[in-house]
Amino acid sequence: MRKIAVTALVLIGLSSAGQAADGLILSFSQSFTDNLFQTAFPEKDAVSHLAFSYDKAFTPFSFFTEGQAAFLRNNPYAGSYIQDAGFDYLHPVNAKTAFYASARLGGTLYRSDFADFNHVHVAAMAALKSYRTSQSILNLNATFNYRNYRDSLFDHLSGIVHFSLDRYFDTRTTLKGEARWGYKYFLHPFINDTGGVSTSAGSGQGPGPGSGRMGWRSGFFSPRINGPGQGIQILSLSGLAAQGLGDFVGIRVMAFRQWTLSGENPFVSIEEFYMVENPSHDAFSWNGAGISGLATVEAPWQMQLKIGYTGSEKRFPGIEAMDMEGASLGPMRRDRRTQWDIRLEKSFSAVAVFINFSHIRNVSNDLLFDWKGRYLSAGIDWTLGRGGTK
Amino acid sequence: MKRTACLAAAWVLATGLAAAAQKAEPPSPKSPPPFYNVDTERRIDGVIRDILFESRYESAPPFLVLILEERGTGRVYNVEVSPAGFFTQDFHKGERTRITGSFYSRDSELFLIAREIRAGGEIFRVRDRKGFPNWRGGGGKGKRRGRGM
Repeated sequence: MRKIAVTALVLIGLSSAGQAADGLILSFSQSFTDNLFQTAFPEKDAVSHLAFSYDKAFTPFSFFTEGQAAFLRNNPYAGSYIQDAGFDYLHPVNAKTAFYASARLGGTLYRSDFADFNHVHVAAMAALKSYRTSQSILNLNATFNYRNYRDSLFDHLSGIVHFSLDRYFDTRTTLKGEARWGYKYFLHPFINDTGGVSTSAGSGQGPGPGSGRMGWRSGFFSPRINGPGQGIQILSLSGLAAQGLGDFVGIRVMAFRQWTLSGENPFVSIEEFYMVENPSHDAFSWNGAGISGLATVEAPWQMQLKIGYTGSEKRFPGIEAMDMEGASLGPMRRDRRTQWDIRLEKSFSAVAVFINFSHIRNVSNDLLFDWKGRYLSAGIDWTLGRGGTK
Repeated sequence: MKRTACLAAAWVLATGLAAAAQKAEPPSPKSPPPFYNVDTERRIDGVIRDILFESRYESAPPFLVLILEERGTGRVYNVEVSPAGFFTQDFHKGERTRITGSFYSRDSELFLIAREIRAGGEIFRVRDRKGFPNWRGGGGKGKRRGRGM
């Protein structure tokens, strides 16, 4: 509670500074979940987020920085603070094409439960967007990331190249195709000897079901002799169709498919947590397919309602399904997930509020990850201290 | 701990550079550019006829500009959206759009400084009710706040 108060005071100070600043946005959100760690052993918790973002333009560059603190009521030692800062650059190639580049440096500090996830990161991005015609947009972007963790087993480099092309039709239909290629390289995902498995479980105090800590099983990594890094290469394709219906409704449907071109996960198990970034679980860790749909309704009184559904089937190369005790069941882990989301937003002068509810059902052949969860969030964005109305 | 110290030092350096650059910015010697005047705000229903990316203000990044034809009257407006809008929002020629913004005219041309754009089933709020910009940077940045749409 004291930390929330201190952070609130810091943000109030920032808001005062923001009165003379170019762009300062303060955000607060409060979330509730009945399955924080997204396993078959649900655990309730309430998560508070306080965040700020600030930017200042120095044509053609701009400086930006973002910070976010997270507090958990029932798992206070899973709290975190994330800080990023960087510069970006926007260059008009011509009236129909622009180039964007950014570089950022940041770090994430967790409290003791997730201290092994503490890391610094460097990221760079370059993007090109062009109107081939006034009804067709071409997007091409590339991102590069380097992350250095307290537990070096997680250290990695990654790069993603993304391409998209869309076409708008006079029937108010938009079709869009996307392709993405990515490569992630774990720099040293092996322990130094063959004497056992790295637990990567914080203080290593025997986490288990109900304890609400990372590392439900005996460890994340296979016991192997120190050796070279390990890479995973993926390719994904997706297609999207969007349709405007009348003046107030829009719908979109999307289908995606992802392949693992080479490599596999170096982990024993893959876990994901609500609102906590786990380096074992990301876009590189799976292959499979899915569909999603989203309906957007522009409601009266400056409100917007979104209702979405996502269904997916994902397999995790290198990860074997296990029983509750962590014994291998043989086949590769496979998850089938359905997710429903509903979100309502309303804007006031300088303030925007939202409420979001999600329901997830994850069916897995790994018994620990056969779970369901409900997530309720509400938040406020407060825009402060713009230097002028230009 | 050493990493944390390095991160803190880099942060201080970056913030210092930003502050120095802010101080170095010369004052604009010219007359003030058009500003967002809430008293001239109007809402236009129209169809996008063209999309441009061009410089509008000295010492400011280029703006995404929509050429909007008002339904019913056929009047054509130059709609200033935002600098980052070129990367963060996808608009297309022929798209039906409702734009709320501050109106002004110059050399018999009609202009609208956009505050809110409704298109493609989405609402883009590029300024707040008082006309202060909401935009931030380019395509590489986004909010981190957890699960949602």
